[in-house]
Amino acid sequence: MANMKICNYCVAALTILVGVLIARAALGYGIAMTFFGPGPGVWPFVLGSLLVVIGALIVLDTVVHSRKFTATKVILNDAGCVRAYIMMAAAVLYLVLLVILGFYISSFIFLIGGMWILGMRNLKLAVAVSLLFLAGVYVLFSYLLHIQLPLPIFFD
Amino acid sequence: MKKYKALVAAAALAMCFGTVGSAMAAGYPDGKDITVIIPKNPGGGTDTTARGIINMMQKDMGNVKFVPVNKPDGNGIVGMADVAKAKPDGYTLGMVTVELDIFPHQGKTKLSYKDFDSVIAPIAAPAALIVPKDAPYNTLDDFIAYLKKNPGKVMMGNSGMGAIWHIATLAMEKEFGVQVKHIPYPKGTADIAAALAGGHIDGTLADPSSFKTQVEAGKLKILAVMADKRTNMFPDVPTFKELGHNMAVRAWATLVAPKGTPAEVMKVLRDSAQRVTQTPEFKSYFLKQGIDPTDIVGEDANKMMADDDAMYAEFLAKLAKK
Amino acid sequence: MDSVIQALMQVGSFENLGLLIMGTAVGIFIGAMPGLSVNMGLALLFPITFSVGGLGGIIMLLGIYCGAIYGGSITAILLRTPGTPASAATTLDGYPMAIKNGQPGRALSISTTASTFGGLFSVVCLILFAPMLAKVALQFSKPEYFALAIFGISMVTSVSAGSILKGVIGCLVGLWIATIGLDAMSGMERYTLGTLYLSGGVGFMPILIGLFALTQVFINTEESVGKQQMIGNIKIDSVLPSCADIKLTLPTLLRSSAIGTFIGCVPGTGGDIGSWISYNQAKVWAKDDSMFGKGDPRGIAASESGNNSVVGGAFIPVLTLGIPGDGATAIILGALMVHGIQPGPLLFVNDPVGIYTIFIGLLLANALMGAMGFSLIRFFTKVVNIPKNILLPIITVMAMIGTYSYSNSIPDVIIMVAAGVIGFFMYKCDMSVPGVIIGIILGKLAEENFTGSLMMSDGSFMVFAENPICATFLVLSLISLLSPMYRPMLKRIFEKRS
Repeated sequence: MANMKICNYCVAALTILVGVLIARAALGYGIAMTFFGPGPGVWPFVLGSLLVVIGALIVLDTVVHSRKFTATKVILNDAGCVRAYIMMAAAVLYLVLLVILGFYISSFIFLIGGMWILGMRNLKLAVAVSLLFLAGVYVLFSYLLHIQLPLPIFFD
Repeated sequence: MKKYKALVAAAALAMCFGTVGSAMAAGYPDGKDITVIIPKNPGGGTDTTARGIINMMQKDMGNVKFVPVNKPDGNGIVGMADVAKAKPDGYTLGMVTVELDIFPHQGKTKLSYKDFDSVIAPIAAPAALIVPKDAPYNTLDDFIAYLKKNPGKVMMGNSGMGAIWHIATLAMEKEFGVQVKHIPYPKGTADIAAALAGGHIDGTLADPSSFKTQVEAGKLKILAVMADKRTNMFPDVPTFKELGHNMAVRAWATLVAPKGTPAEVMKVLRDSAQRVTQTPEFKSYFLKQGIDPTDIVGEDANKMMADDDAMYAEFLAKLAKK
Repeated sequence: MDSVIQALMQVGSFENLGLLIMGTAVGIFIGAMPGLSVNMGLALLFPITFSVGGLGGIIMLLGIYCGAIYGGSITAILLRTPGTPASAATTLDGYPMAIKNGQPGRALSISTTASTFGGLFSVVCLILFAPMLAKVALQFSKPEYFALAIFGISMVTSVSAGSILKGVIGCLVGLWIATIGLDAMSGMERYTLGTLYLSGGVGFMPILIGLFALTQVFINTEESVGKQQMIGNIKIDSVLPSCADIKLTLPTLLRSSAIGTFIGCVPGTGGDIGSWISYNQAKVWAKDDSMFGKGDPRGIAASESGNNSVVGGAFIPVLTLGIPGDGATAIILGALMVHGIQPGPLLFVNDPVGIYTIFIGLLLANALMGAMGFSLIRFFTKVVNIPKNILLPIITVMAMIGTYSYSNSIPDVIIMVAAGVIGFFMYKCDMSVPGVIIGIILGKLAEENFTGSLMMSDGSFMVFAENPICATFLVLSLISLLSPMYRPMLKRIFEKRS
């Protein structure tokens, strides 16, 4: 169990880091005012610097209101979150399968898997719904709209 | 039962062989879908041109369906690369734009016109010098004289630094020895038209289609066009060439197939495109939108792409040296 | 007068009415599906306008345009996934009202009313004030666009739920994401890590779909543990909004429609900007803004009338100047020209039948859109009753479809998934999403016009102060940016007085 204070410090640290990286790269693009107008680095440099400033402000705010933030809990590892993480992993896996197996096969696998993760145990219903939905997608996208969805990579 | 199964299997096998062999048979396109990759967002000029021309070719060819696919990634380079890499069997085509001849010389890609074989270039819009109606110059020479008296002050709009209209303006600067202030309008020529109409810039070198309404309403005037021949839409406007300066900058879009597509396939496509250019529908579709349609088909289109590539190679190298 | 009658007869013909109905229906569908954009739908059906001949094709395109901007609100309210970027602001109050407060019918009916009102209002403005508004629109040059963008960005402090500082971070990150790729003002590539994909910039749609649809899937997944998979049985009594709701939202509707119409008539700005500014202004002017973000009907009304009123507004520069107000009107402009209607200053004189056809077509399209919307509310609400364990995976698949059909690019899908995951952790850290979206939408507008203004003024920053419209917007932006600081103080002062 984490609390908002730690969360804030993490966010602030990340923000400052990103801000510094952005600003550094911006310097490389040139922040001088040339004949052609401001250099392409001016705007990102301002953004990066502002990020650093806001990151520092968050640290300040967290220190000042330390008690309030410590009291606010951030739930990161209860059963609900774990299930969310599993779903995330499933989504990433879906993406990988999408590239390899093409849209329809990977979507079918994901639909069944996703419903399972969310507690659906009626396999017949899951399969039926998935097939029906994908059939609808096929009619709509391939047949009517002729919008192409990813094909398995061994189709070329 | 066994005999029946064998019969069905034999028929299925025959159909399989039939389908595989049909690409070579006198059947292209044989009812299969032809994908056309458009390396731009839907609704833009290249996109509507592409959809227009393939729609007309579809009607002409009959037993085929062209499926446009938008791939605007990476400024269009990804889309064009996909066409170049595709199997040269005539079922994947694409639109390429003049940027194909510009990007390689800016180090943005290794692709070039050599990776493609053209079907037709239905548009090749020339750079038109457009200024407000009440500007104190009425000819190209007047304008250049004005520029010489006011170096670096006259604001010319373009569609992005390094993009074609900016290059056209740079070319004009070099040719006449003048200097203007380049003001980019990255969203495109519609924004330039708004800026000209509002009096925020002094002129532009760009394709005239976005400005057609304003010109016809008398708010803007075109001083000259960078083309080899006068345009059909504005026959009273002289070309830079006539006025003694051989400059031609045109924004074309070409329907292409990957290099290596069989000659019979190219012939079917090119013949259909040729027939389409003769129809009144073709001319009116483009003219009404303010685009002068061109009927540059096949090898002529290949030559156009090669010529422009050489021109940009030379010009951009000169710019870099400066 | 007989041009009007001629136009009426044209639009009223069976064939054209049928096309209008079909176009509006297709538009609503395209709008509702995340990833299918208005421009895509218009470009897809653009060639059909030729086979149809006459003005039927144009009328159909008008229907698609109006329907699509409305359709986005349906998924925004029911699934917290804006079907089009213009409906992103509708999720802020639409979704809480529909799902958290269990009033999907009320949310949908308010949004349908607002969309129709906004659309009709803008068409009336188009008919009555087009030339006048066009003149104002022409005043906008780069400094004005910059100031408008800053005004939009400054809203992030009042629109962010939760921690304002974190909302600002989101906005800054969004602004930065908009800089990735080829900078058209200098020709230089920035933050591309040498990849070809990034040189074209990071797709906005994948991030929108990921941050809204996919993140919501993950959030709902977390909430699903422990809850029984009850099949909801939300019923609705009436599809029309209640008198109380109408009275409450009327000032908002008027204000937001005016804002949207104006935004629409400025070339280059669209429904997404219109809806955010309207939403923010509704919050600012509301006496009691505590319910905003939790299901306040005025939030829905502001966002939806703000985006639909852009439609009529966008036609103002099209018809008076021949210059498109946004990407969708650019396509319609092309279609108009191909069918022989020459927009521009001469249109009112040369082709009154053409103009009246467009006016009547737009009015009818908005009315039809409203009628269709109301009649489908009962059907749409059923979506809410689908058990979550079926609905969530389906939404995920729809997100994949939507992202891929937008640009046919797998890297976009990767970004979408990444945005979804990041969005979940943002939610955990009390970091709200609107800021990021505002940043991405307005990033290019702000930076390109900032740089461009300085190019035009040879580096002089005075250009921002010298142009009155620009200066006004900049001052308004400052006020808006600092509002969370002084609003509570003002409230206390006013309360003490009374």
